[in-house]
Amino acid sequence: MLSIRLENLSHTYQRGTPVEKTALHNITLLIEPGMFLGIAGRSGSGKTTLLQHLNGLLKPTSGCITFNGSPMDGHGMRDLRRRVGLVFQHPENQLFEETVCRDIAFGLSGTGLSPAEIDIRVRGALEAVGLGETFLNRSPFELSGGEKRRVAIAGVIVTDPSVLVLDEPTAGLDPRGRRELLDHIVALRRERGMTVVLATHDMEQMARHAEQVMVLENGSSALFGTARDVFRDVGTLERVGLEAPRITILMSKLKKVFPEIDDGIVTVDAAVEELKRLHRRQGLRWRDHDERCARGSVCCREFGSPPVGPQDEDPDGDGIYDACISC
Amino acid sequence: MATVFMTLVFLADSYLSFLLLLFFTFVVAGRAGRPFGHSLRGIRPILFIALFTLAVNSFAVKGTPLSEYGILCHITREGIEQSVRMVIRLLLLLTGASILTSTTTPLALMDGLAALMRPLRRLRVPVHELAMMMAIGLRFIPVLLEEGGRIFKAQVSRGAGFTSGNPLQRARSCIPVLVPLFAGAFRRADDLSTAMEARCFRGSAGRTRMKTLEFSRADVICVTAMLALSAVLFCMEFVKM
Amino acid sequence: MVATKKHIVETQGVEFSYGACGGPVPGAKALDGISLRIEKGEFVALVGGNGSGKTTFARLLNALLLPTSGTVYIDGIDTKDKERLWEVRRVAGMVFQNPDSQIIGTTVEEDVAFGPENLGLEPEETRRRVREALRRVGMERHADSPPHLLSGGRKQLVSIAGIIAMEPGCLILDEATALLDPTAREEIMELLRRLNREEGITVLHITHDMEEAALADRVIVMHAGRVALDGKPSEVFSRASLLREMGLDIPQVAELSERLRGEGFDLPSGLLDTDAAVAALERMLAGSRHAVHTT
Repeated sequence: MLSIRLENLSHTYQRGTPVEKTALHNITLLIEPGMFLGIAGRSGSGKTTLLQHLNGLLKPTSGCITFNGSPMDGHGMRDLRRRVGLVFQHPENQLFEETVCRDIAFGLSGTGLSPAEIDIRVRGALEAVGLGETFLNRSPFELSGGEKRRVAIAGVIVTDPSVLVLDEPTAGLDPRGRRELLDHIVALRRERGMTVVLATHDMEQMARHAEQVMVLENGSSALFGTARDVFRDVGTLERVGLEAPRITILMSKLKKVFPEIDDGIVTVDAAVEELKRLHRRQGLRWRDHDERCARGSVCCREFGSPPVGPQDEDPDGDGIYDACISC
Repeated sequence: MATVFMTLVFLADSYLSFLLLLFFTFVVAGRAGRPFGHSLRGIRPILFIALFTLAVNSFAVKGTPLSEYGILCHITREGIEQSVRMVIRLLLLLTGASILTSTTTPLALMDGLAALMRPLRRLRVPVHELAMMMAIGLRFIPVLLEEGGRIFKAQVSRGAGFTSGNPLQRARSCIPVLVPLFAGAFRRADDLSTAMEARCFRGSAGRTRMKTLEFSRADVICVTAMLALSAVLFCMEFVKM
Repeated sequence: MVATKKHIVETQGVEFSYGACGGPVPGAKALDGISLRIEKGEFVALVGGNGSGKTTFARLLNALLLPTSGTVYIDGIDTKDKERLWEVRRVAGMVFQNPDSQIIGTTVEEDVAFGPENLGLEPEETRRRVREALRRVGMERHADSPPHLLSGGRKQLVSIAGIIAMEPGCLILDEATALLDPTAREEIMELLRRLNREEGITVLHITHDMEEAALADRVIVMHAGRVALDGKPSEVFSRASLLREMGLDIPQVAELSERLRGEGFDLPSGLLDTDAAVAALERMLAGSRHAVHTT
């Protein structure tokens, strides 16, 4: 298990030259084992630069990054890169071997594993991205775009990293390709307990999978929190050039009419549930004209019009509130 | 012009010739509206290479040692002279190149070349297409450099090492970068040719240019000066023999 | 012939197969009997999974490929007509997915001039068209920039300018927004809508993004080399389960309303627009309240 801590990390490209450009500015972030972290932001907001720090490809120009509490040193760099697998944007462009099998195994060269062990790992990685053994001896150059991309990802997870970092993994894929690829990543995380860091500007994807989300704007963190909290802030998202999922926008508009709507809805599933609940609630009435709930206890009278709350559902389906929040 | 200049730079051997060339560069830079300092700044990154050349040459060329003692006995007078010349040549070349690239866009350059080579068309040399090819080549240098950098990083993060082992191993370790880079370049070339066809490209037939090159007075002056310079240098280098 | 002139694109029973060694699936039929008409001034979205034949179809319209059987007419011209090939390519201008492999010039201006130069226009006319095209896409300030220093979205604007400088009748975009971020996508969509409404340019936008497709006047869904659905966005996206089977998404608003309808809620079909959906949901919820009060 590996936890990565970034403290006030900044990165400036070509420092000291006229073309110097600050790509990251004072990023503080703790990536804990098992986390599914989303990094959102427009192109050029610093996502890629941030990701390349996570496996030591780039070094902060100020601030620091530590792995399990110790700063990285040149010594364990290759080891670190095996523990933090980084999938680049358009990873299919890095395939080079004659066969899929050899390409995937490239990440294991120099590890001292036996050929048998390597074979097991390669097959495991290929299976994890949903490709069968028939692919092993094919040339990576004759595969379709989506297949190539999966092979490239297999080439990264073959080292069994604790942290899997993906930079726009679904860019350019069709809806099915996008969905399947993400499903494989989710499954990997579940089965191997991987930490996943996913950079994307596809907010629907982010909403469906990420637990924590950091939104970057011009290299600084504009928002950070749970997916619910981040997507609630439609205004900030718009300002940094991102769109909250359509469903979130719809529900927040509806909330102006029905204030009791939960405002952290980021998926269609959640919206359907919420609307059904609301519909049920709209149809419910109080037991009598004093507007008491079905339990009709003293508290309802004391409150006057009883407050509604989480318990105000109607399990017996008779159209009458079974209990208000205070009963 | 550039070619002539390049030849001259290599031809020149005496310090006097170098001085003359330097003067010429200076004047051209001034006329082209580029301060000389600007051109000099452009060569800063290669100063390291220049110094390296200087050092290697000083040691490598055999001749009269500077001194009998210690490390100095490996450095020869001829070595130093030769390397100083080498460095001056390098700097002149680069200043010349930097003037060229900062005054002329690659496409204009190619048009110029195509115009010069026009007589070759009679020999059925596809001059226009050649020029086009070179111009596109130039356009894609930054793209390919960027892509190469990205692939390099991607392979490094997959655990590739590029710095260890003997020369053969090191050469082999470039394969993971070179193969994808070439594959990418071919793919790109394919896409590009499709895109060009889609935009009605059909070679030079019926094609016009938005910007046509004109031979202006400045060009005449420049060419004359160049010819004069060549003549003078030629005399200086060969007549003295 | 009268009918074909009104249609900027007309295909009749078009089939296409790549040779035994070419294409994504060698030997298979990439297109299998496509007959459709696109009227001048329409804004059409073409969607479909990978391998559905969208790209092949687009390339047939620009005569980059010729049909194995059937006929493609562009503005009434048969694309097989070698004499008029350049006219076809001018009328059906094409923008591709990757901006880096379609920009030819070393400056923005040079690139936009490439098309008009190929058409053999006078330098003066080319200059005018380049200026005009850059103004229309809002890139006139970048005329002298080298393209590789522009953002992806701006590069695509340059690519579009390069096409409209040729004064096409129809703009075909082959997944031209796929690699862009949301803001850049929106900018491109904005531009396409403007060109379509204000200048009457026909747009055929091939995309994987269903939210974008929902903005078109008409959506054509391709599957396995055939036209599977063709109609208004509201009609097409009400066929949620069929679209899913074909590996496609539907816009979230449509998905929500279809799912609620599926559970028996009273909602109109074909909801796509957020505001319309809010109004409908409001009615649905208020209706339930009302219903209880009357009982």
